[in-house]
Amino acid sequence: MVALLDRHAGSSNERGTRLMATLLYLVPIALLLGGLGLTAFVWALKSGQYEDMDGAAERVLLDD
Amino acid sequence: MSCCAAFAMHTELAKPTGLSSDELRVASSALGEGLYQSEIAVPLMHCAACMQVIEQGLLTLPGVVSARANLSTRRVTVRWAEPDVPPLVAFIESLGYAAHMTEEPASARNKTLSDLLLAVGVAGFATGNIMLLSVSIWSGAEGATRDLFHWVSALVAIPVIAYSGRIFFRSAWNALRHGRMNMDVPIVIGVSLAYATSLYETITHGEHAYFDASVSLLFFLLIGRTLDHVMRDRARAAVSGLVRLSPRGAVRLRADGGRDYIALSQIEPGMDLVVRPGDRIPVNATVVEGISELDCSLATGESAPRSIRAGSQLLAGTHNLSGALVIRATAAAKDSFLAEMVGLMEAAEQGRGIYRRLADRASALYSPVVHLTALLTFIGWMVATGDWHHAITVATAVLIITCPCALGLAVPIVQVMAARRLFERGIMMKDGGALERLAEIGHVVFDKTGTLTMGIPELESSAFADPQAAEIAVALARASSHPYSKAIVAGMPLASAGPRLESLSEQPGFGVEAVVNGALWRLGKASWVSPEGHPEASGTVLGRDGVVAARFAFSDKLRSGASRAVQGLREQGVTSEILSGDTSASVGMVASSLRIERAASDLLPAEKVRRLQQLAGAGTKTLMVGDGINDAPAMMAAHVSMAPATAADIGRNAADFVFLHESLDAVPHALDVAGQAERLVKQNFALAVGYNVLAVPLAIMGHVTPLLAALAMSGSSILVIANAMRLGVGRIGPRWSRSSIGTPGLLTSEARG
Repeated sequence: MVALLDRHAGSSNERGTRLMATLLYLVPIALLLGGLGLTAFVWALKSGQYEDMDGAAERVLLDD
Repeated sequence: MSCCAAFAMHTELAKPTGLSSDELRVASSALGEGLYQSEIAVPLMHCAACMQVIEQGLLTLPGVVSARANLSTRRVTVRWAEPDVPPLVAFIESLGYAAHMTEEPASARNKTLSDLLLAVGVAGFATGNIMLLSVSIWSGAEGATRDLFHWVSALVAIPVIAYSGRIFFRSAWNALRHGRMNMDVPIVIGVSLAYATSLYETITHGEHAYFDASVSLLFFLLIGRTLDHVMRDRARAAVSGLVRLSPRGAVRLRADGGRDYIALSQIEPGMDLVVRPGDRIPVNATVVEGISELDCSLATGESAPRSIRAGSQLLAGTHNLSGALVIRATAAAKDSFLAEMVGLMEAAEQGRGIYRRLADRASALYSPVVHLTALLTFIGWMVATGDWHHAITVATAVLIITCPCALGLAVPIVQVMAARRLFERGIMMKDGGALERLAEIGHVVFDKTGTLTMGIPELESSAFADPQAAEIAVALARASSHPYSKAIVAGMPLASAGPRLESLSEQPGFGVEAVVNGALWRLGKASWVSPEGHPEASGTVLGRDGVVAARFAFSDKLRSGASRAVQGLREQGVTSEILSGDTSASVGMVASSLRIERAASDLLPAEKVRRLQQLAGAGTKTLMVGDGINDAPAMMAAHVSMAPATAADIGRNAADFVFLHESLDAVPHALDVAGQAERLVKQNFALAVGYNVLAVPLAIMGHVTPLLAALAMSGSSILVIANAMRLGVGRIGPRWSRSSIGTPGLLTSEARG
């Protein structure tokens, strides 16, 4: 999608600048979302959620 | 628990451990302020209901602060506070689960795993993002947009190289520092060069950057490494979860008559110790007081119990059977029999040549070729065009294409699959190198007692002069925990409750006696049952008022599947041999029933080592299967070694493989898997090399773009992984699968109420 826009943008200087401006906030947002995912994973790891995978699967069945 | 189809365990493992509160305290770790943490292995726990019963049950005990069951490691972590010492093990056993203390804290093991997982997570995050950016570049992003994407990729790749990559950097550095080559050296060189040239490309507004290649390479390899770690960790946890057979301490008898429990390391020569029936002897000692019988099967390989009285010498690790003893230590734990064996083991290990793993041998050949090709490509393009920038770009493409992504996965992924297949059959593999060594062997050396046989006597024949005698014999035998008594009970199943026994008593070292209908019946040693009887009276008999009424003969029961295993080995072209510390008569009997020609008896541990070194000297690659303390040095001297779960702690630690099922089918089965794994590894090498033969000329010609590199690399990795997945799928000989599933062993299921 971005690449297609880019190709069209190549024709006009003005559109190119607009595209760069779009990328300037789209790329950080993409990285931020990815980073959020990574942070969630690190948090899950540190809080011991990967220490007993079999147990976690079974504990679903308990009522308490 | 109606949901629980619990597993019946091997007799030795299911035996209550009778842990005293002193021993519990010694085995627990102090958290301060009177708080203790205990790790208890509960191998039979297997579902949500089991966890709930155990956790909630433990919380009702006085002093227990928290209890948390972990199903993956089959352990329960309990925190409890002084002054109470809750009877944790006994309580879990009363719930119907075999349990025993373990010492290794779980946290140390989980540290490595969470480090690896974190590295995978970071690499995965970066690979995903960089791939997204790369796809736009491949689709035709140009000019400032491409440069921006390159810069973002370069930034995102930094944590992967610095954090996730450090595992490889460290290993490669270690290898290089010791003048060796391993698979990580070309990986590290490839990744760093790719990153460096890509960075240069980015700065100079170049077209081709390989950030995605260097990052996804690390991602794939880390996944392989994590799987490998999980497999080995599971094996380690399963082995360390077995019953500890050497004592943690002993009850000291002080000069003033008081008793206290001291840890093993605190025992000094000259101390008097109390040993209950059923305990193991903690250190080398002499008997001061008491009469009993000693089971030496784990220490020396003798199958028949030995009588002991005041003045007898005892070896550490032997098992006191019938009477309470007071013993005087003659050596500290660090100088006892066990320590002697550790010394022998170290010597044997040094004598054994260092085994170089297949992957390391392959990379020793592979890396120079790869690096030379890249260098020649660079020189070639320099000479041809004089454009050093282009020459470096092409040389980097060659390095990336040849970077042993597939080669780095070729071996570990097969070993992970093999470990899984073995695990399903209750065989634990300690490391991948052992599997490669197992595939090479041509000769198997078995220990006799406890390995080919169960090390537990079995009633072979009985002759009765009196019909009533059978019932009385069983009734008397039920009252004793001597191995022969247990064999009589197991060998003569009687439904009735038996006659009424009066004034029942057990005479340690002699037998059991009781009065039935006014007559004195004795079951035990012939010389004790009928003192003025025939001089030829020997063995175990039942007597009424001094007259022999029945005779019993015992034999050491063969391990199930023993003859099938030896036969199976013979069919695979592997020869067998017995090395035993037992008498020549009992060794000869086992050897002839298994049709093993070579058998040696009355061997000392050092003689076993010598025999294995002699075999190694003659160029025979040997597998040693043993269980005793006396086998441990020989296991170190062997090319590869295996032990049953019932082996002494030291033997289990020395062994490369530990099998949990009772059946000896594990030996040919493991050989079978090792052979298949070896074939698959070779196929994978061929695939990886074949891919290089196709792709390298393209790279040298300068036709490889980052897109092509990414496709080729993932393609070859997936091919290698898919090939490894074939291991054991419908290919393991049906002969072994059927026979070992049908055998009653550790994991035979049994419905429970």
